[in-house]
Amino acid sequence: MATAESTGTVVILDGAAGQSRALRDGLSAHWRVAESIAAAGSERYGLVGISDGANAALQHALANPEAVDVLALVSPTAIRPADGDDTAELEARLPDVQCPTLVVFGQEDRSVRPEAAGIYRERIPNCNIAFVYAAGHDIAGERPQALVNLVSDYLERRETFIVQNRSSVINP
Amino acid sequence: MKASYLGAMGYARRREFPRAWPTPPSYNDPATSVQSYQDGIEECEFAEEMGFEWVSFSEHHYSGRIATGTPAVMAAAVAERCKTVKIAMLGPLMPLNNPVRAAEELTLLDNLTNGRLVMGFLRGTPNEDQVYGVNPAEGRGRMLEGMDLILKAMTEPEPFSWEGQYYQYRTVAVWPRPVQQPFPAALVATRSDDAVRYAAEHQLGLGVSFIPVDETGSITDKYHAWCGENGWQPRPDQMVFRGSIYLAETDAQAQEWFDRQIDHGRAPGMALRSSVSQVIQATRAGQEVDYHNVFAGSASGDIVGGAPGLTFVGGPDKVFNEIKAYHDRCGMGVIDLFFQQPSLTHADVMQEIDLFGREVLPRLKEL
Repeated sequence: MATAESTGTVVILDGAAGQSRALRDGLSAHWRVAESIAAAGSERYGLVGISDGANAALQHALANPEAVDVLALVSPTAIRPADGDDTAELEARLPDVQCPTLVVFGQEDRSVRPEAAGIYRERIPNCNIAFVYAAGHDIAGERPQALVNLVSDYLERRETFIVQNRSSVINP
Repeated sequence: MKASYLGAMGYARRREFPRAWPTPPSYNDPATSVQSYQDGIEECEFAEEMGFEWVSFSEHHYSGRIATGTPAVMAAAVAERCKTVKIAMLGPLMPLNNPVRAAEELTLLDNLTNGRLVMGFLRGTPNEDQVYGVNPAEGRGRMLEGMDLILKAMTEPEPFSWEGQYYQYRTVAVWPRPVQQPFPAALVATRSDDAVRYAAEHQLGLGVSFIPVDETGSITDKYHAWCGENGWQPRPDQMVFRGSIYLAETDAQAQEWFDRQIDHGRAPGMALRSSVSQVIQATRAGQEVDYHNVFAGSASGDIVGGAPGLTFVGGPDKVFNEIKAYHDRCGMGVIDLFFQQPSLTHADVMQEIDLFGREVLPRLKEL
């Protein structure tokens, strides 16, 4: 979980209007959540994209590496969509993503082919992939708290979020 | 139809155990224990020699009756001695186990056996929840999520994080990959609709244990229907029934033995103190527990039986026909048999395997 000291700016690009409300509410406890890239200001910012918004976020991070501090792509459909579009050109550009990147899929999301997640992980230099159990494409709607916890932790700790920081002591 | 020998590895002097679970470790003498495992392995080897096509293992804790709390260890040992049979892990118990650890054990077994592994997922009997402190109310959810995570861990080629309801792992990258692709032959052992539906939706086999043929049929009817809704039907070796057996030369001899078990209070099965049993069952069912009434009802410290009786008792013809009924009525293609009844010696069991292999198994294979 993010700490109270987290004070950066996060922009959420929501490709499915309204689905991001829980995420917006969850992140706003620790970050200044901007409604748009234009409202983010001149400092570097974290960028969270959902569904089609994740595709836009990926394109924005590629085009503006100096602006995007950390990237979270939730249910992106830009790579290997289930309907079979050729995404080779975009896949070839993934090595150019310069910021730490989290790619999140619902375990039951059928909007992309099963190998899609691995392609991000393999090609983006600093990338983690995560699967949210009991969720399809609309993770924010189906497992909102899980998504908030996951994205929030990643924004705060980036690739070090894999290190357990919760105590397992039962009786001190 | 294929036959599977359940490698129970029962402790030789299990007839002396109290019925209550758990069995105190003080009943275990290491020398007897060592010999019991060797006897059990020998039974598996002989079963293979007599034509059994699977040897199975089951996760049961804190009891010498089925003395394989860590069935993967036992399966690995037997797999080195039995070179052709399928090695069927019918554990692991999903609510108890770390699914990532289970996936690692299973894929390693699939490698050690060069693709002979069959894996079965099940919830376990009510007492098992207590072994690793699992809340009985959460067992069902842990089982469903655990199966998803195991299959994901076996099939995802890149390291990933898992954000579950019961499990959270930030780095999963299971080695080795299974020999059988995309994952080893798998079944769900259950009687519950949600897990039967899970098996149908994921094209997994089905295992049912210890219940009468009509009751089994009502479950397999639903399974077949749900498989059809998902556009497939199971192969015969994806449907497994597990039963306990006592086979003798004649029906009369078998019945005489069975009557003696009852007379001597040795009917198979384990028992839980009634207060504990009540609380587990109520919690599993999502009911609120009234502890005052539970304790008031068990003032005498009574013990209740919690295990099924024998499924197949008789001579070869009777046993064949009873097993055949599960094939004909339910579509079962594999019969997994528990031979090690508490009062039997190693020699008794070897004799039964021999009789089964000569008089019953050839006929089953023709089904």
